Amino acid sequence: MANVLGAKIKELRKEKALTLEQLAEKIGSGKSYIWEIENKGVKRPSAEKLAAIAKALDVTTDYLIDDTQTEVSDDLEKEVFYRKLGQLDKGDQDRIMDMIDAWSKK
Amino acid sequence: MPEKKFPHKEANRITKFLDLGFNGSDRFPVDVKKVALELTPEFNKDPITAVDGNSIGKSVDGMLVKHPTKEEWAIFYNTDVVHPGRTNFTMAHELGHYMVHRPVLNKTKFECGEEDMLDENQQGIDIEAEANAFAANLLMPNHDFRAQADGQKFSIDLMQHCANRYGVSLTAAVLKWLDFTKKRAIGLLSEEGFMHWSKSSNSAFRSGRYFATKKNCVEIPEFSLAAEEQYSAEARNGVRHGPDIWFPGEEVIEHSIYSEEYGKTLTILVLDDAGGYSDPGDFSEDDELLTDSYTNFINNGQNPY
Repeated sequence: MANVLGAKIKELRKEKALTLEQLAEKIGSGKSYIWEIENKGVKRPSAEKLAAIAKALDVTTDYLIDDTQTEVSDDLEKEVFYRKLGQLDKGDQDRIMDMIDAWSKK
Repeated sequence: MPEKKFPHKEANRITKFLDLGFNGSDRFPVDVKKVALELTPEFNKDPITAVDGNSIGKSVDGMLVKHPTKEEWAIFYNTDVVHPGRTNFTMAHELGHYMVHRPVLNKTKFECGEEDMLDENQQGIDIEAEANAFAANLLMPNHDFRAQADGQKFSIDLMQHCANRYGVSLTAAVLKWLDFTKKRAIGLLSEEGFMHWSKSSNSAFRSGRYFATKKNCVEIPEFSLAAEEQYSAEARNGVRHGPDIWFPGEEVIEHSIYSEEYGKTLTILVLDDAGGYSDPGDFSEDDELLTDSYTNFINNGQNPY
């Protein structure tokens, strides 16, 4: 599953030319904490930390967590083997379904 | 319950056919699409009948799909992924799922439903790591890799030669070399001072030289070349560090290549043949570390190519 939150934070941080240390300092955490959120996507920050990150990056918390990712539909889950699709962009999901449909009708 | 299939063995079966059918310059890189379309119908009643690329955004590299009504399969790969070595590896990875997991998991699914499939995964069958092992062995068979690299000093040029020969990324060639080498060596990928993943050769691992990147957030040493995050020919060709830069009391030769495009540094540490220590108590944990670098990569949304 794509780490959308982490990618967003990294992009915004780099736009503001902040180092890991500088952002970490602003939100009162270690730099490895930021690195893991950005790159590993395993740690879901607490609401409090998320608000601090949003503030430091001059965006809203909603902007950070809102994305166009949607749960993969049952139809697609049925067809695709051995891929933990998790969440997919709706457009990508439609394209994949179209591709499978086109092949199925051959 | 169908017999468990082993990724190395399945890759070797195809390798034997290719060794017989090709010679000289035609043998490599392996044409995975051709293998899927021409070899799978020879041995299977449910062959792969399509290998197609399409633009499917950033989400997935590739997938193996079963036909809804016919006994047929297809591999789809993402053409938005621009590096040819990566596409080749993705196709081989999906072929790995077909060869190794389709006969086993399909049956399980048929008998017990989807939840059991998940349970089986939780019990430790890491199908992504297995598909990567299949792909690495199909694209870079041991006998040929040995002929390229045996008895040669490690160098990025040697790795680049292998990457070109097999149509894979430099990283994939390095990971294969780490599987194969008797030397104590460690490969790692870092970004902004921390490691994305690390993989030790067997002998490095046994001497206690590894980084537990799966469990911990591991920092790059301050005075290493990797920490500089800029490309230089000197770093590429290898620099010998005194003790205590990378490991206490031990010298290493560090080769680091920084990629401007990705903002990441690929590092290979070559250690002297003696040194380090052995801690047998760590072994079980470390077997895991040895095998999961590809998977770490994928879990992090990056692929080893």
